[in-house]
Amino acid sequence: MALDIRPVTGTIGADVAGADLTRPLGERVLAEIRDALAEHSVLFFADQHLTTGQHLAFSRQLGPTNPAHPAPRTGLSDHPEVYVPVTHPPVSGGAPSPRWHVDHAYMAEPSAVAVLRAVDVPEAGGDTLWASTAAAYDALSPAFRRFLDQLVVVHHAPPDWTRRVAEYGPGRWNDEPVHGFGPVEHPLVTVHPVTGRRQILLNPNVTPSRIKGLGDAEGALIIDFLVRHVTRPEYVVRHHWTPGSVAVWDNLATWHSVVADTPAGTTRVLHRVSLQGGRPVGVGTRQDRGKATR
Amino acid sequence: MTATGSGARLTLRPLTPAIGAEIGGVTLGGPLDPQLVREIWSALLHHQVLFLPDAHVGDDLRAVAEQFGEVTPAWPVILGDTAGHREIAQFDTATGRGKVPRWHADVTYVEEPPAVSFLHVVEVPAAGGDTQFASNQAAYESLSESWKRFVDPLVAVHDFHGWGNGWGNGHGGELRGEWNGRAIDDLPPVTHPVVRVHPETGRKGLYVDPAATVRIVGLTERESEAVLRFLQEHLVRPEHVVRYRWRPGGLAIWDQRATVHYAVDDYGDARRVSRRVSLRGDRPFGPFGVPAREAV
Repeated sequence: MALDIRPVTGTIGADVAGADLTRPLGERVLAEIRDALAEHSVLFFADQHLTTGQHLAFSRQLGPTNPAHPAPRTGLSDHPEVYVPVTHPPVSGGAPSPRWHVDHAYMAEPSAVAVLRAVDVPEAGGDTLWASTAAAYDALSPAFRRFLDQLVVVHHAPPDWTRRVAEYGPGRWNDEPVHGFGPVEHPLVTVHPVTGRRQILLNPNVTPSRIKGLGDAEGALIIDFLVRHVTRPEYVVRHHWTPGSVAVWDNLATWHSVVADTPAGTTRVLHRVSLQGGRPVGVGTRQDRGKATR
Repeated sequence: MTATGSGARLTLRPLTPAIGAEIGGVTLGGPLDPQLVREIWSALLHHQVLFLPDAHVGDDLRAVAEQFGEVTPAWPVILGDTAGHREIAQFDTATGRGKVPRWHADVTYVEEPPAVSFLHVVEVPAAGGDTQFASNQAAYESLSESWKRFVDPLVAVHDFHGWGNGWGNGHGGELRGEWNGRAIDDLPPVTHPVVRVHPETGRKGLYVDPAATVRIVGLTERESEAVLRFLQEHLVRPEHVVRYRWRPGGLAIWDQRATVHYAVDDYGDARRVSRRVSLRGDRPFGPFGVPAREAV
């Protein structure tokens, strides 16, 4: 094995050493990275110091990329695949925190993987959290899992995306034009295409979602419970960014959130590139190979 | 030089803006230079929890702690396995105890909770077993001004029984022991201010230990439930938290007056061994002084 891969917590995350992401990687190394990603859900590569070109080149080795978002003009003007997340100022009392989300969950085919690099990060503040929804799912009782397995969630795109399309024209996603955003349904519980583990697909704080077939209060109860459960410390890894570091995560196997503690006036810049993905697979569908949960 | 615990090259790296710092260049085995003790204490007051991964604490944690203050018993009641020293709390998952995956401060259910504690983590799993610390001061400061005015005068009841049967460290059995020089044969609920003014820095903190705080005095039961739930969730938001990954031999020193902590239980049956020694604290007081003893 060419890479040194070490788990960060007992359930999610691994530090990867021995790969130089500034250069083309061989198929063997890429295969190791893909295997590690399937197993650990998020990988951390320290001291890479990629340029934008290298960031894109590395990402494309893992798979075809998408623009920053399916709405137009959401990436860098000269590199539309690169998204620069907005750093939220420290929250005082008001807005819900943290803002757990899954990228592009409101698309029929959300991103499969994302590659995030630290461009300019403070010494302290602005950590990113990832939660393993598979580890969280495994900890539920069999009865509750059976209940969740059948549920379907309706996702909505950010209203701003519709405005952007109206103003700037169609967006682009998975090599197709995007003219509008309607509600999209995904199973609440999806199956990982490689490991067969069951995952919980929800986008709790960014765009409102609701559970199909349940009353409003019932749905809110389930979503509230799942948010508390999935984000327990036992299923979460908290990553402190160091200059030049890179994170690669499995977007459908995790939720993620930034810690909104970057002091006012401090610079925090990260760049994200997303990889194209397919439709999430539900439990018991033709594509679900029926692997039991651990 | 190593025998006299020096810190000629003490390095300090903050871990988050709100709480936590890692200290290097310090050896704590043996008698310590009083100037070093003051430097460490000052850093502790500022960062609320310090982590010293390479302090070479050695086998006598009590000897390290007693140079910083007066050592207390581990708990106010007699425990089964303190290895002959009632002041050293032993946590060893091999004995079936030692996991506390819930947010809490230690022993807030007495009138004089401990001020500061030292944790020496002796053995760690290959992965997992992080500890989280939340700053009750950052939590107070991030409340709106309206909420600060509301909570400033409030008083809450802390009850040993609030922990419930989930307290896995041998509290089962009779309540008999010693605390701060007094014999203990009962643990009645006590009152503490919801906003605690730190006795050394004057900084205000949200003192609502999620394990032992059972209700707020003067509110109806439903009001108290709702307010406590909000405050206790607010207290542990990630913006107020540092999460630390241990290496064997690591030491943490934390201010019990300013924090709550959580031992992450993500390592299954793997072995984790640590020991804790605490220093005596005084009676918590708020912006309006020491709470009256409430008839509960």
